[in-house]
Amino acid sequence: MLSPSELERYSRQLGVEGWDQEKLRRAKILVAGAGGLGGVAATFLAAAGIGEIRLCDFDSIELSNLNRQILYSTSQIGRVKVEQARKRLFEFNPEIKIIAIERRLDEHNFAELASGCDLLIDGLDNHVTRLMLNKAAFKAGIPYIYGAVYGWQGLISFFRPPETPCLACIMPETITTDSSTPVFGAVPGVIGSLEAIEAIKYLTGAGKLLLGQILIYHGDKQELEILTADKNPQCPVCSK
Amino acid sequence: MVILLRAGGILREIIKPDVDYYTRRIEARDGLAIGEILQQVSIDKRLIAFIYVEGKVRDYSYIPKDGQTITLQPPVSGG
Repeated sequence: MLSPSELERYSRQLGVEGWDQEKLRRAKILVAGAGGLGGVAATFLAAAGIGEIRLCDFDSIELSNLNRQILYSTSQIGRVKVEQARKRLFEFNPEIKIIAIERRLDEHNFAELASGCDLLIDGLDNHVTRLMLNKAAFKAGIPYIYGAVYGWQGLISFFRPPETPCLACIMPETITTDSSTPVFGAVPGVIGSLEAIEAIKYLTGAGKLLLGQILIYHGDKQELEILTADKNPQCPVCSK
Repeated sequence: MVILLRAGGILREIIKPDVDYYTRRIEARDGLAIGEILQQVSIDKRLIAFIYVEGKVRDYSYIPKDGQTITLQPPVSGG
């Protein structure tokens, strides 16, 4: 049962169609990366009242982060990201549990760090780690909300194989990616927000998920495309 | 047949657009798969995250029809 303070805090969202605050309070989410995507997704998820948010990142705050990573400020440059993020999110909502994990997520520690989580949220900054987490999440049976950005463009999908394709069904390991990705800060703002929406829908059962679909946001044209994607019968991850 | 190749991001300049800012028109032999068409215009598949045609993600064995637009999605890796 919600406390009087929770009833007041969440009063503007309790009437949203399909909303279930109790389910959100029981939910545990792992946010991989506390940068432009992860910071925005975690902010909206904390504000919405997700019971436990585990925020994992091993970086410190750099000046070049501040065009998009709105959890941080200039005075915090050099400090550990997840600790600053934890404090900021706790200021937003002290009624939930926020766990800062200052570690690099990998295939060896994923099961431990994601243990008991309902969802994995992508706040990463490179394709190789995304593919690794895609595989680890599949093995652990944890749905994976994928998000990524470049320039004016952002992508999001909800991967829950075997019901849906996984990331490796669609994007091969062999693709070449740029080490320094240009990005306008509002684009991870859009995609991080969409990730939070997707997470809330999954946890409450409201609405319709991006299952077997990829949403592409084109900021340069203010267009959205929703693609359908099939499973790859030769997928090295989820077809085995 | 005529195929329209469309791309943004790092792939836009590589496809050498000539129809509009994002699109290049190419002539290809009927029955060629997308992978073969990309080889014909010397586009390195490693620069492509995936391709899609009329709202559906396709693999390189897909054989496009005359007049279809093939969109090449560049890698999107930031966060």
